[in-house]
Amino acid sequence: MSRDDNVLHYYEPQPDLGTPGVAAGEEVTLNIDGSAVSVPAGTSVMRAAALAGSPVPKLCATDSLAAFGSCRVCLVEISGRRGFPASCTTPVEEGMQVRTQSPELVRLRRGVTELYLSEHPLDCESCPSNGDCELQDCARELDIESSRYTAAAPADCGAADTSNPYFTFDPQQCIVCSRCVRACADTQGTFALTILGRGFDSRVGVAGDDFLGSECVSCGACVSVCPTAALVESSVIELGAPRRSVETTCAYCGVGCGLRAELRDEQVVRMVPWKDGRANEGHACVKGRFAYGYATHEDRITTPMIRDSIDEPWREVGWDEALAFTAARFSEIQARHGRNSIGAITSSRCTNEEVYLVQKLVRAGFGNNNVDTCARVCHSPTGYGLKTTLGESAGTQAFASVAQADVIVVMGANPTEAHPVFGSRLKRRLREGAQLIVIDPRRIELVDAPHVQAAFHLALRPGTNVAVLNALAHVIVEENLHDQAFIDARCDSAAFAQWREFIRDPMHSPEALEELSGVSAQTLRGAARLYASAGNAAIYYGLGVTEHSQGSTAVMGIANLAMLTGNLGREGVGVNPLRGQNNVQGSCDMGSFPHELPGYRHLSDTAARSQFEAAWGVSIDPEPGLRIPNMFDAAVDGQFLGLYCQGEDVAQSDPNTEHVEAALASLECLVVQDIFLNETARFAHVFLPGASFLEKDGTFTNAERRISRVRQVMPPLSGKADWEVTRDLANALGCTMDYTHPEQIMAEIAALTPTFAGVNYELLDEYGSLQWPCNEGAPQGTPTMHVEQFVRGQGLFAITDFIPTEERVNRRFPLILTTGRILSQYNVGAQTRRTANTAWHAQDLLEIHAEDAQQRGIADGDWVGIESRVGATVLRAQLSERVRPGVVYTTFHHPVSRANVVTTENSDWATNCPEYKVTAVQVSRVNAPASWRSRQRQSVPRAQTEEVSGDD
Amino acid sequence: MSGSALQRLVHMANQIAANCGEHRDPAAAAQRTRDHLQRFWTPDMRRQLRQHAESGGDGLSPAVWMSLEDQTNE
Repeated sequence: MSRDDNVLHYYEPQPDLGTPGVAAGEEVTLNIDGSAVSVPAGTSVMRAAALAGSPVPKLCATDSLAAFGSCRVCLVEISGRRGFPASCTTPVEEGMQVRTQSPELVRLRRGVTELYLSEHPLDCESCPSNGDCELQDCARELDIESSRYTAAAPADCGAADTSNPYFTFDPQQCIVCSRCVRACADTQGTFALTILGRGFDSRVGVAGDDFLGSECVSCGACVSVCPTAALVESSVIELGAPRRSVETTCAYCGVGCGLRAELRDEQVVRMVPWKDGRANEGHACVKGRFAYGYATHEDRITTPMIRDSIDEPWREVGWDEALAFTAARFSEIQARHGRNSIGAITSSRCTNEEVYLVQKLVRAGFGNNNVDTCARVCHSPTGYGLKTTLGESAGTQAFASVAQADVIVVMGANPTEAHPVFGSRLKRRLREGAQLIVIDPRRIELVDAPHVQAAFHLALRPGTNVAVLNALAHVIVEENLHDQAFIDARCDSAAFAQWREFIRDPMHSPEALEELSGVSAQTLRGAARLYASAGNAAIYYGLGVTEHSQGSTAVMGIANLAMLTGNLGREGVGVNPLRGQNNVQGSCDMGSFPHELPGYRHLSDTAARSQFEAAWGVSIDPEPGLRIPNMFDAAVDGQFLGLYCQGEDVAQSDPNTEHVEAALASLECLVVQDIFLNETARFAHVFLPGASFLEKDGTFTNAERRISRVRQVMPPLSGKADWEVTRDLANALGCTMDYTHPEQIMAEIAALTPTFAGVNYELLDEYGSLQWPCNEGAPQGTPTMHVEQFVRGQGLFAITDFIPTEERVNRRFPLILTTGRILSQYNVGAQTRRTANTAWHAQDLLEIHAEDAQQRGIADGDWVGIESRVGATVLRAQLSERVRPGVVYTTFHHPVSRANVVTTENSDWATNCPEYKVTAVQVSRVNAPASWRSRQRQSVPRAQTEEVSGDD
Repeated sequence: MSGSALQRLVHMANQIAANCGEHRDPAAAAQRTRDHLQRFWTPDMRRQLRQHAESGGDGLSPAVWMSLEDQTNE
């Protein structure tokens, strides 16, 4: 055993109390090694000892997993009890007298540890976990220099498995403690790992040849809990042990996991889940945990660039020149075409502080409200729908609330792929016995996963969400399953009476809607009864609800269901939008929409507007500005000529690529601020290099309204943080901003936004994170909203007419294309495609049912052309029974797939959120993809003409 | 303003009216449509729609017509 502690000088592993905490309740006081300690009843002796400052050695125990009691290293003595109970499986009792140290305990622990060491390599100096190994810790504490049982060489367990691009499994280092197997099952819920063999032959294994070829989803939970170097990040093997760490927040999905970047100098050695992160509680996924390499990828642009015209090459310049060029162009455009001729798009990838500054620049500097955000194309209907019905544009619960749910509805979301850490929480609750209703055209993993089986899967036809929600509500009302007492106490009675009359109409009955929706009346009735009869029922939904022509109506339909059954205002219930990007909630909170100020206050609210006018020293236009699609239309029309695009690749992410590109090409000054030269930058005149999340300092707000700190791990590669760039651009335009730290920006946000009034960095550091509203009434934040009353006062039942989408199938376009995400990739793939995550998803595929494939002579793996009314693209086919006949599905992570070439400009009636989820297409087998694609591009105008003339 | 951009405005306004219950209660839908346009459309977009109505209003649904008449009568 090595005694060299050098590597530990600057690095502290996260504390591990051995067994999970117990919810606060009755306190039990016991004595451990002479010290009194009080803990909640049900706490283990091991955890109590750790809290008392007398940690007990352990190998199979860790505080993210239930006690297992197999290693026998954690034995203690308890007065009045025989033998040496395992402290991990022994609950505390009042007055208990515990000794964690005695000569006999040392003798026993030494014997056990030596047995473990007998089959373990002893070359600690060359081990990647040297200094971060619990077996090494045990041996050191027990003063073991060598094992009495090491005469024979360690058993040959086989070669290391290096198939996973991020971690290595070395069976020689494995002590078969089963932590990894339990983490895979209990924390992640995948059950990819198991113990193979018996007795001395026991070893950890996967089904399949290796980790990469197995069911493993590479979440890293097994690596995090491994007490030795059996499962270790390959980057630790390559770069060495970390020497310092910084707590920050993940920049992928809306779960907003707390992460700990562990570094040597300025280099990230590994990213581990932060155990105190309340959104994730020590868990992570393959993206947040491992796919951070893009941040330092060679494709990063770190020098500002300008050009007079988009057909010229870029010219690298200094920051001053780039910002002066931008300011001059914007000023000149406004001088010629008026103040409304320019605008900006904020990014959900950026911090609250950065987004706030951009909208301030627009309102105070540009002098208009032409600011919008990428939430326009994802969750804008959530803002509209929840504000209308409940009074606040946000989800109602904390993620942890799902642990109290008895029935869980997942609608238009795929949590195990798109929000995997929440997906794991959800699966855990389902394994405990909660029932599941999935409403999705596709058979997502949750419908039938290991130890998880949906009670109902409503495999509806894309575009019929509102019809299905109405049918569910109809059943609940007609069968008298609603919570009249809740409605009487909490909701607008006149609106309810009107809605009740509407929803009772037989046109909303399951029998009337089963043919339209494709869901049998029996299934609709069963699901409605299950949801309404639960003690606690919670709805989680995603872009499969919002990205429709009736996205806002569907959100209101969901809120109606929750109010109807009294499932709001406590834990275990609620309406929960699963936000797509890390800071969708925050970018909306910060006033990114063209009709409202930070805190969702409409521009017409004179009191709110006056507050900002006084603080900023300007007059604010009380009229709404342009939304993103309005900006594009106005650009094509020659009315809108300048755009500052912060961290969004609209040319790739927005629908109907041809129209978007025409709009971008019409601009006289397009400014792109991004970390990579993205697709949109092809049309840009100015490129301002952005900062990755590792270079940012500020806050993100996740889907549960949780504001978390983003801490700078390394200085911005370009020399400027994004907020500094916006500040400097504002100053160049004569809009004075003198911030010197993001904390000052947050102070301004708090001063001007009632729901953020109590938020400051000091409090965030103290609590780790805060859920807004955080103010005088809720100084530590608000995990559950609408507890006593709705934010709007009385809940409003909104009438939810089903208006069918105009995107119809016909003979020419007989299939409906819908889209989604895959676990290993993220949105348009700008980040994840620049990481080893491509090992799992090298290309987008078109899922097609065997019946539809057979009719078209398509075999699995064939190239297929997908043609819609507006465009065409080519993908490889994947025959699948996850989709029903008549529906095809693809992801959109690779630009070469050009999925948005085929999506139309249909959009939500209230918010213009694009209808990505419903596109009528034809699919055909293609022999030569390149020539087919080229031929189809030329034929698109013909297809549009045919549609106008009526092809149905 | 180009024809296609105007067509888009007409389409959007009709879609709003339809989702505000035009088929059930055209007068109420007109009021809701008017409120919606006021809250979410730019003055320029509203002006263009009004001008279109004044020049014949081809393609406008009855509730959108009514919502614009309400504004004209103010």
